[in-house]
Amino acid sequence: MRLRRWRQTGLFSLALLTFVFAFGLIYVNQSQFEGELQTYFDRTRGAYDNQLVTRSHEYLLDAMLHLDQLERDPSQKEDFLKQLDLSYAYLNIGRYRDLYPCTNQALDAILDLRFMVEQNQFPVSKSLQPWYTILSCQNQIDNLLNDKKVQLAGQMLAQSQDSRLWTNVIIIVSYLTSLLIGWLYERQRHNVIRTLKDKVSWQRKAQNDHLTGIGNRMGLEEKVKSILRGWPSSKRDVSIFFYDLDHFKAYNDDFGHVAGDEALKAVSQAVQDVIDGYGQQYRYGGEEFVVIFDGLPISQAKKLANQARQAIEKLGIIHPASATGYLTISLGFYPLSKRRYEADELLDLADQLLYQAKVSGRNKAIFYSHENPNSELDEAEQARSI
Amino acid sequence: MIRKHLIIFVVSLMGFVGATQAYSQDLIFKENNRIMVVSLEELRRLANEEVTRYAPFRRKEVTFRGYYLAQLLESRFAYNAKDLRIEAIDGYAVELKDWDRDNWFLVTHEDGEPLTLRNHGPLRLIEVDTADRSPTNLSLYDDWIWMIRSIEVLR
Repeated sequence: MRLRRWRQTGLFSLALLTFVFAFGLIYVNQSQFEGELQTYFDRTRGAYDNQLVTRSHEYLLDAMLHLDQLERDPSQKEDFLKQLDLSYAYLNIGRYRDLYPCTNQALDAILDLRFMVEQNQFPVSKSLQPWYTILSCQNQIDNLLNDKKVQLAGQMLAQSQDSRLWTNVIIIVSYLTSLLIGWLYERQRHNVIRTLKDKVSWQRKAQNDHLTGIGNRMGLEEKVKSILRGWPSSKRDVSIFFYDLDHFKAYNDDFGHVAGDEALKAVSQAVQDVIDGYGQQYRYGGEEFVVIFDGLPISQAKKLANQARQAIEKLGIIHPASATGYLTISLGFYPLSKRRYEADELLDLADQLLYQAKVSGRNKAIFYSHENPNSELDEAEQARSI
Repeated sequence: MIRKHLIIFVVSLMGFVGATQAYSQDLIFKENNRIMVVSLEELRRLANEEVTRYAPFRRKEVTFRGYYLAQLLESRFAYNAKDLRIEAIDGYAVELKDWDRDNWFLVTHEDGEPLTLRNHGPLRLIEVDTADRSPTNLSLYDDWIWMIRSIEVLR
């Protein structure tokens, strides 16, 4: 469930990253192109300077058209001079004068024509030199500006392609790097999870008994330590019983170790069936087992301990050395009182009770009670006295 | 009041005389149906304000002489105009809407010389302060109208 949610989140993040990447790519390309376009139309670079020379050219052509009329009717002089002056004005631009050397010559030529008209030196059309000087200069400026326009457009396109190529490369590399980092992160996360799972698995294996499948001695020690860490401040009941198989050595001798192992498995399984969900069972070693009830009321724990002993008897495993003819167990039950315990001490107390069960005839359960009349004795003594 | 009308009449008469030339270079003021003409000669003669600044179309520092446009309109024609339409001799026209009244200057002389048609006169409008506008970007100076023929009050 969690894995599926994680995958969904990962896919969503990838989709979001891709969207941001695509949007960023489009936006950057568009804004960059707009910027370059704006630069192209910026008159600082002179792309539109020929508007002025074009107007100068138009006024000059207008004047030329009226030459015939002027030479027939000198009263048109003022209009003609106005056209020449306008032509002069639109050519009289600082940038033209600075950048195109023919400009000053053309302006002088306009003044020459003007002088000729003012002095009535007709026919003006016969003197072609000034007209040629002006027109050729205007054409030259116009052509140069057109060339400049083409050059600027070419430069803009080249710069645009170049810068956009690099911008796109950077964005794509960033995107791929993000994907790579994401992939590495995902792989690392996967490895960490796998390592943790392995660790948990090994821990579980290390604390489990290979034969019976229940907890082993290491698991028992961990559990006891864990309980005692919160003890005696804990409000819950904790009890422990120690049991072993009666005359188990004889059983092994009679039926062999394989049968002995099978008997151990059957016994531990029967006990497990009784305590399952209430307590935890551990193999202490050989034919000795420990059951811990953590959080179960003492009275209920006692009942379960008794039921466990009876359950083994009912298994009906033939055991000639046993007084009943069947395999049995003895057990010692010890409920924890509200005082501090050492782990070894606790197991020892339960073991002593087991010993009592053994010496009192086996197939017995000895229950320790803190309310016993012999409470003046210390717990170990009391246990021995039961 | 009578004096003001007399001035307008005299100015108009001067304009009429100027208009008899082949093409007049006198300045025409228009407001609603009123038209007044001021002779170029008078404008040149009475111009007494000076501004020195970089001239983008000349590519150099220039001293302009002339009038602050708002002052000219208010002192001579009692116009407190918000929107203006300015037309050039060659038909080029520009509308100034909500114009910065202290910034526009009507030029009659450039470096002491009266403007002529050949050097973008006889009257030209410039801005005194162009803030951070690039002086090499001529497209930013499209409102600097040359060869002014008429000024019309729109509002």
